[in-house]
Amino acid sequence: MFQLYDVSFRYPDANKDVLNQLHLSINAGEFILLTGPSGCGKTTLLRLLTSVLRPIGELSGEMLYQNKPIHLWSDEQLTKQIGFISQHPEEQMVMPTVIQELVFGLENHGLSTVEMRKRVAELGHFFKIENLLYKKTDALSGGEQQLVHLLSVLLLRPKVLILDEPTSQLDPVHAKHVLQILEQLHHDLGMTIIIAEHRVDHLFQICDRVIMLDEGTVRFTGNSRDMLYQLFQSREIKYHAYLPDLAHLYLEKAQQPIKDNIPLTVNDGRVWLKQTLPMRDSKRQSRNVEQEQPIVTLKDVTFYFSKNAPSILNRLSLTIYKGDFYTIIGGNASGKTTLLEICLGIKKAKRGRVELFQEKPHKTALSRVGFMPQQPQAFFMYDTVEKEMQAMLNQGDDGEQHMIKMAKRFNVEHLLQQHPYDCSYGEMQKVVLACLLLRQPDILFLDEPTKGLDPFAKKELGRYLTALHKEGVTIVMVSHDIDFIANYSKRSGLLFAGEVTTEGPTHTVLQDNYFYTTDLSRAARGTSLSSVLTLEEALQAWPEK
Amino acid sequence: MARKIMIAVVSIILFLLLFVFSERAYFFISFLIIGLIMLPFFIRFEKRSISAREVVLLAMFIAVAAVSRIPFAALPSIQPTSFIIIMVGIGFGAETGFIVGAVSALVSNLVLGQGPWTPWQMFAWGLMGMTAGIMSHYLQQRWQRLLFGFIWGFLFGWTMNLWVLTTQIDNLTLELIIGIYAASFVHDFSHALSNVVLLFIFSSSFLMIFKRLKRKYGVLVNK
Amino acid sequence: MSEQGFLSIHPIVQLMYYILIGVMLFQINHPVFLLTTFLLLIWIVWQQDEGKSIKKRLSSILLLMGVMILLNPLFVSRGSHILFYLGNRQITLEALIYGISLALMIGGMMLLFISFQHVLHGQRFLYLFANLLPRTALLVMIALRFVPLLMNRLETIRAIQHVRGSNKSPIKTAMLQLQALITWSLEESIETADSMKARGYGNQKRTMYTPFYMEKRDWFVMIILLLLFILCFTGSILGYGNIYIYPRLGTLHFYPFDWGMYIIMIFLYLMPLLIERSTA
Ligand SMILES: Nc1ncnc2c1ncn2[C@@H]1O[C@H](COP(=O)(O)OP(=O)(O)OP(=O)(O)O)[C@@H](O)[C@H]1O
Ligand SMILES: Nc1ncnc2c1ncn2[C@@H]1O[C@H](COP(=O)(O)OP(=O)(O)OP(=O)(O)O)[C@@H](O)[C@H]1O
Ligand SMILES: [Mg+2]
Ligand SMILES: [Mg+2]
Repeated sequence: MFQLYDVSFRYPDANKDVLNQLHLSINAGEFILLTGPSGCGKTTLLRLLTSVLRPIGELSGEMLYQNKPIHLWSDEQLTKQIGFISQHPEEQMVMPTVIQELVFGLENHGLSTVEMRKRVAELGHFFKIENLLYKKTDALSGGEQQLVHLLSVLLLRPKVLILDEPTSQLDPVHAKHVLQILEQLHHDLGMTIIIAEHRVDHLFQICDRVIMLDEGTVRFTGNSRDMLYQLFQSREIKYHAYLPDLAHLYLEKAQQPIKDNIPLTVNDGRVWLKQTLPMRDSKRQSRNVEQEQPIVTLKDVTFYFSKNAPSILNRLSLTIYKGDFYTIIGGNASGKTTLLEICLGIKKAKRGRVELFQEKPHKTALSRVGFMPQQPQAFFMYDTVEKEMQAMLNQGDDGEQHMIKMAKRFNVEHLLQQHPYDCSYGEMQKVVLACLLLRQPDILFLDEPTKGLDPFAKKELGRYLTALHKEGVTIVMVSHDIDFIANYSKRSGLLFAGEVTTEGPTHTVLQDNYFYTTDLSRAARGTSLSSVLTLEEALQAWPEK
Repeated sequence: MARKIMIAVVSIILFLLLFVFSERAYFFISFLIIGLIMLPFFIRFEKRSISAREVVLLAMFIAVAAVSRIPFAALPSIQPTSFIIIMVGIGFGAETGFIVGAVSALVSNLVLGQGPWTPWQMFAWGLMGMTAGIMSHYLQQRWQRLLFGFIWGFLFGWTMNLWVLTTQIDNLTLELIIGIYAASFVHDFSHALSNVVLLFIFSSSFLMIFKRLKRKYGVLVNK
Repeated sequence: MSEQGFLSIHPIVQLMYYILIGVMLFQINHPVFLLTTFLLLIWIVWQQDEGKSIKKRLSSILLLMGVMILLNPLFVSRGSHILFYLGNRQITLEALIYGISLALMIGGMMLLFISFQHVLHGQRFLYLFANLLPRTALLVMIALRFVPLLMNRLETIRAIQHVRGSNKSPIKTAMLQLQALITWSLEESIETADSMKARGYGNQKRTMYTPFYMEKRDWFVMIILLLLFILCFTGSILGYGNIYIYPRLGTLHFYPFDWGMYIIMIFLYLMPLLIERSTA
């Protein structure tokens, strides 16, 4: 399908190539997973492959699509044959209603109404979205939006589907749904699929081939097990972050790890663990956080946007104590962001009592609070990172030095003169964190801090948060990233149907669930490791002979 | 086919109406005239080759102009829409300025409520954006922009007063005209003042934003 | 489509209805006629969304009308029936009546637009205007999609600013929010543009997905509309439904033909509700 010879690419003002003499060939009907640390050039490569969206810059080398240089194809042909989907479902919608959005591409290609109706009817049925057709696009949840967009691309009947982090904004259930559809397209229709992702665990199970980029070159390639094996063999720790916990555990602890036996699915893992570990059910006692001084108290809080719409929060009660590291777990559109905003007094509860530092949320209370929004972009007001940080300084104290120290701590001092929007997503987050900590808050609220981060950056974030927590900062986080929660959070609550249904130490909450738990815990059920959630715990608890 | 017949029927009806003057026909005809004046601009926009980025950018400015009142809810005398239209005109040229101005009126009235004044508003805001684009060369200094904004505060009100006059054709006396213009003075003055205040504090930083955008994405470069 | 009644009629017929009754609003100046049409339009709009938009908008429409009725006699002193003097200004009955009929007309227009917007939005609007000005119609559509998006973003920005806290003046705070909104949205709009481009925007002439066919019923409605309109319109040219205002107010009395026209006009206006009834 695609052949790349010696492809290099450089952005206009950059001082080095983003892609560096890339050799690559992708066959028709392959399912390719493209991964690699943030900034390694995945997006750039994918956009070059679409050709229509190629970024401005210097390109050298040769790119063939179906054995013909790609620049000789007309845009019309290419857009018909190559579908592209990016990571922000919201920004990809251009029309006010779903049906208009669906036919948008068909209209662009000048199809007749009859043909459009036929295609919409067929695929709409396959995707089971008949009931969404006449809804407003902004009334859809993130998962639904991504599905609608996927469908609108598929209606053009592309031969190749290129996806840039299509599931990074979605909760595990929605993400899985999208991936299952991709798998089906690949199997049933033989569609060529190229997908760039950071959340690789599930994709390792379904892709034909993995390509790992780093610094603009192909670092590893091969099928999933080859790849995992090579990653593990490599000396560089940062690649280990890409290993799914189960596979990692196998490679660490199996007596003679065999490449072809690396467990990819939970089932593989269970089989292996059952063979190697004694069958014994052990329950672990987890410590409770000392619950003394409540910082956030919600009592019977109800919230709705309008009287005739269903309530988002329903008689919800929640207490967060000083020194907590608390996570609210919930899917897309379950009301997590709304809940945080109510804690902060941004939205007013319709009924019930909200207290922050044991009083109504108001200005002085808010000065002791740091809030990292779901989209870090929304935080920025000025045109350099430095101004952004200066705006957070209090008058008087030796601000400049304090600021530099903070920037160093988060490794962003080289960005000070840059426009905040020119930073990568992970960098933006670090800038926001640095800004927040300049105020020395007692409590930090984080809205989905892990989405869009590569595994390594996630570890880094986890380290920062752990350090802050040790310093005595109370942390409240909302998230649906189970692995991250299991690794770092101390207490959690499940937000479901507007209530916090289960609450307690993270360990207790996540254990024994079907879906809201880690793969490792599911695989280890019934063995001596059954109380284990994370890789670290598993390595510690591994029975020595 | 059916569609073509329909369009023909509707336009014939409209055409015939022109011959059958009644007293209020002036009001009606003023609609048509305004429409005809604006038509060439829209046709030009239709014919020009334009990239997806530009279309989206225009739509974004229009939407921004439509929601720009929200943060100012507590300050009713501030009119950010005019400010944004002037800035777009200066930053992106006359044609873009006209389209953004005219369509902003249409779209924000879809939210606030249309009325027979919509075409006039489209016209007035369109012209505001267009003149800002034409004169952008002379609007590089801040004081020039302030003057421009101040004048347009009044021009806008005066154009809208013309709409009021078309409803009063049978009534038209010099006294009435003076009365209407006098009555709108306070409002126009506050519009002018709001333009001046916003342009004074923010026009430079908006131009910076536009400049960054053009550099980063190479869109809508002012010809 | 899932819509019924007047909503399911072909858009061109719908547009015709609005143009025709719009023309009739201009053509008539008899206050009783106009008051009737005003009330009919309130009823129609009420029926369309169970009173939601009427509850929201009627007060502002009435306020505007009130101002017009008050101001007209204050500014205009033409006419011969002098009601009283205000200072040395004569307040005339003619000017008052003129103000009333003007206000009713403008109020009627505003209601008409509310109904228009309710019926002809989205795909229908696009269908009507895409033939004349395809790109402009598309531009309006995309802008309409952005309005709620930007409102959400603005809300997010304001929430964060609220927590960040600032001691700037309200005008500066508001403008900084607007500026942040613009920077953010322009940045993201590139992605929107790319999603359009990747789906082939700009390569060739667009076609239109039109779920609309002229059915027999649509033709039938159209012919009835036209008949009623021609009757009304001829009547109005002949002077029925109209009164003399200046220089001297004529009579408001209804002659037989006025009655006839009055009834025909009511039917013309009520078409949407009649269709609703007949299909229910
Ligand atoms: N428009 C641009 N101008 C200049 N440099 C750019 C531009 N876009 C990206 N870059 C730089 O090119 C490099 C590769 O970017 P790219 O977006 O391809 O990375 P990525 O692998 O997709 O990262 P992520 O996982 O964060 O999405 C980065 O260092 C980035 O800073
Ligand atoms: N301004 C609003 N008006 C009406 N409904 C809204 C508004 N904001 C959010 N909602 C709805 O409230 C529900 C909860 O939204 P919220 O943003 O709190 O969800 P979330 O759990 O944070 O989701 P995500 O994982 O996508 O961030 C959603 O169904 C959303 O559509
Ligand atoms: Mg990327
Ligand atoms: Mg959220």
